[in-house]
Amino acid sequence: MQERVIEVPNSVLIGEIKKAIRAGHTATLRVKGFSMRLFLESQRDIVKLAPVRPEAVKVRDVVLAEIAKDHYVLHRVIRRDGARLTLMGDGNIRGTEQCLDTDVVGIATEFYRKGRTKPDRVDSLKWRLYSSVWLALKPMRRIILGVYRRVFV
Amino acid sequence: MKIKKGFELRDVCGEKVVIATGIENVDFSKMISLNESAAYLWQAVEGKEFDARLLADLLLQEYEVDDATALADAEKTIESWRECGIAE
Repeated sequence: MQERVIEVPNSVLIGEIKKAIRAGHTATLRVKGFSMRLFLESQRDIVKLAPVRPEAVKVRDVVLAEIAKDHYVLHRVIRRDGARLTLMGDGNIRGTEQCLDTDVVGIATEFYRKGRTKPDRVDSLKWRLYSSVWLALKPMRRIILGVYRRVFV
Repeated sequence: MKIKKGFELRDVCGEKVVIATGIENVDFSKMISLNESAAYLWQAVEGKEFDARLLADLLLQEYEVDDATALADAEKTIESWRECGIAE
């Protein structure tokens, strides 16, 4: 069978993902874009999203959220002020997004990296350690991401 | 032969695609695109037992093709569905 990559606009795909998550399912999707480097690579990795109650979203979670009408990002929550969330991609040097906790479509629970069938779960030591180290290295992101781009991509 | 449980035909962006909608997880990372005639066949036999003969008859009802072509296409369709793991 011929394999073909269909580029589906986010607004359509995420509409379907939203439907699935609202129905209580989890949804797996392929990552698009580089804003969650180093951990997640565009087109290579798959993320599993699960339903989440708005009030349960917390700092460090990776969420799929609607930051403007039909504009979605899969980024990390870096700040919470009441219902207002500030998001930032792990692979972004600056630039944050704001949304409400009710704009969160789903929360990342597992990452299938490099074609592996065994996922890295967000409650694993590996992910928690990565998160701590990566967030602590935020002032050096530009340099690390630059080296990564030159050496590994 | 039957379409496996847990697969659903949906319209995504004007494309007819089959998505794995398990009890728990819906897999959007692998979507199988069907052309118009395959989507028609899928809808006609969803939830039913079928074989190449039945698919060929369905094609004959809908399209102006001769019996041999319809049967060959039906067999090809079954083969590719089996290969994708969406029918058994």
